[in-house]
Amino acid sequence: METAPSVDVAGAIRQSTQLRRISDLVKQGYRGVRVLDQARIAGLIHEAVESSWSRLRLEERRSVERDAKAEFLRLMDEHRRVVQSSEDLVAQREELERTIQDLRGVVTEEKGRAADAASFELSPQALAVLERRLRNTLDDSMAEARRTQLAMVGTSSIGFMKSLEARLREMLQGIIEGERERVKAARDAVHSREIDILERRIQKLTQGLEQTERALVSLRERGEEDPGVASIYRQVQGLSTTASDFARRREMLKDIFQQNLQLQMSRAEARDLKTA
Amino acid sequence: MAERKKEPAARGREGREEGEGTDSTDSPGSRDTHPTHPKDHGVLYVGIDLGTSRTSVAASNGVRETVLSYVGYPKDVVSRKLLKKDVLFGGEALERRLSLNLFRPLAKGVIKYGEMGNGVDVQEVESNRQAARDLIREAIARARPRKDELIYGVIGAPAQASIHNKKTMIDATREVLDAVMVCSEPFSVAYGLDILDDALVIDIGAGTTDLCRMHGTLPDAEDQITLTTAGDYIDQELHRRLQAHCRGASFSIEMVKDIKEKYSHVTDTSDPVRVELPVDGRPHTFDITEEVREACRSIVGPLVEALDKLVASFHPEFQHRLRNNVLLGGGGSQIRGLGRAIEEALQELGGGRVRTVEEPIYAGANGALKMAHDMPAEYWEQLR
Repeated sequence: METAPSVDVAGAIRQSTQLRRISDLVKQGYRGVRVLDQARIAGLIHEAVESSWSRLRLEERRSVERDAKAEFLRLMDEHRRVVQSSEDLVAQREELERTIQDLRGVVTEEKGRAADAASFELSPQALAVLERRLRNTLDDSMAEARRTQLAMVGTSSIGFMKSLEARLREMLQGIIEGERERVKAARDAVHSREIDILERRIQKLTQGLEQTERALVSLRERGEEDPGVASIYRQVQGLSTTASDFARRREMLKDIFQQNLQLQMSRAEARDLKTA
Repeated sequence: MAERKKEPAARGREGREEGEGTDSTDSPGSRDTHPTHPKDHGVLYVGIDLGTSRTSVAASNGVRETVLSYVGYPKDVVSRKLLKKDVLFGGEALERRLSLNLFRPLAKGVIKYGEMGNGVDVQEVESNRQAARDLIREAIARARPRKDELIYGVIGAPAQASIHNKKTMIDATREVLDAVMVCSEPFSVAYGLDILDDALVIDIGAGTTDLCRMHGTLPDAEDQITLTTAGDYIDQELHRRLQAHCRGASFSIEMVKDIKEKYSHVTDTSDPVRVELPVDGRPHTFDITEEVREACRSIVGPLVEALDKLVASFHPEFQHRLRNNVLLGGGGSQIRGLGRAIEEALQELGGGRVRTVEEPIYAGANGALKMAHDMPAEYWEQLR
């Protein structure tokens, strides 16, 4: 493979190095520095990869390829699932938003109707009742008038008629008012129930929308969430048998392990005692 | 670009090629003995330098991060709403400290109040431990592990940290690490640099200065000294000197720390250090060259004394080797001229040579990472 490496070597160098002023290095006692240009570093990495690759046996290469392919397919699959799930949620959210919009329109309309209920008109049935009552009242009044007129002749009859008219007006007003209140109360009750139902539906849909939006945000975050950087090791390594001072290092590591094992065993014992 | 040492992870990778394909042995330390490990997940090694001032982490995925060891929790609902976070770390926590209950959960290189029974409020102890746990979780998160990876870590602790303090450290890491080991911080610096013989490592942190004598085996108690004359001590010393020198000026310990980090030096010849400090609300310029120098020099005496003690108690035939192989690490090693100042002080004791590690901030974490990588699988298995 002679193609140029596709990794951002310059970026990686920038990220993992720090800028030191020459004057600072001089103050720290450095008299010279070795200079390695970026192209050379990239070349070295390239060579190292090439060399490692060429040293692998055929079955090892195939194994690496198989692993890489499996990992790639797994990531693709995961990506596809996330995208699909995100699209579903967006559609669900849009649908909920549309429903809520419609319901809000209905509620506004119903509330308008309730407000208009103050200026209502009597129904035909109510008017029939009203008419019947008026007729009865008038009949009663006129009979009364005839009886009174027989007993009281002359100027006083004019006054009586005026009083009669006033009573009739008052009665009429009372009947109309009573009817208006009754009809209004009945209509208000119906509207109130409808509005209540609609508002509860809106509330529920709004909750659904909020949940969907939360799920969407979480999905987006998951999508944007850093999947992490994989370790370059797939299994525990251990000290290389070819490491310099292998035996001595092994002893040191063993001592460190023993100390830690002892430490953690005593910690576990203390915890057990506490629990007991 | 100055030439750098290779990353520990990279060194491990090199070795792996050599070991591949050879017959397995049961000897701990050989890497070809892990047939039981499934291949469906990876193992992320992390080296952690859990410091009083900053926490650094180096991981086997190539990520290295450092965060100031500050943890802040919003004081109330209003600040939580404003900050939009339940917990803040590092510089951000320091920046927003007025809205936070701020914790610096480490002191003298270990988790605060690791030793119980010293009359401290239980709530205070638990709050600091929680902050330490959160700080470690954040440090590991910054190493960007994959969710399906096992995380094995080695943490550097002060050379003379007590057993109890080490246990507290392990407790704090248990939620985020699948297996953990603690080792001496200066030893991990030396291990990372492959300096295992006849060397003296000085790790100057914020809480402690650790000295460790390397002589080819794991250093024991007599090989290590922990001093509390370190970065924080310099801050206190500089604060005291500035109070005396800058009459009427008001400044906090955080401001003093900033000044130290910018201008620290022990050399006689240095550019003048002039800083602006508020006096009655107005900025006023002060020349504090002398104060900074003297505050920084305050750690040299105890350090040389401890160094001399370690050299003098070493095998007489090899004392000169130790003196000529002094390695300076940790944030404190960035004090300008410190290496030279120690060399000058060593002149009276027979001379010596002091070198500064290339990456003071990451030297401990790099060494711990290398150790984590080199540790045989069998060991990790037993600590899970």
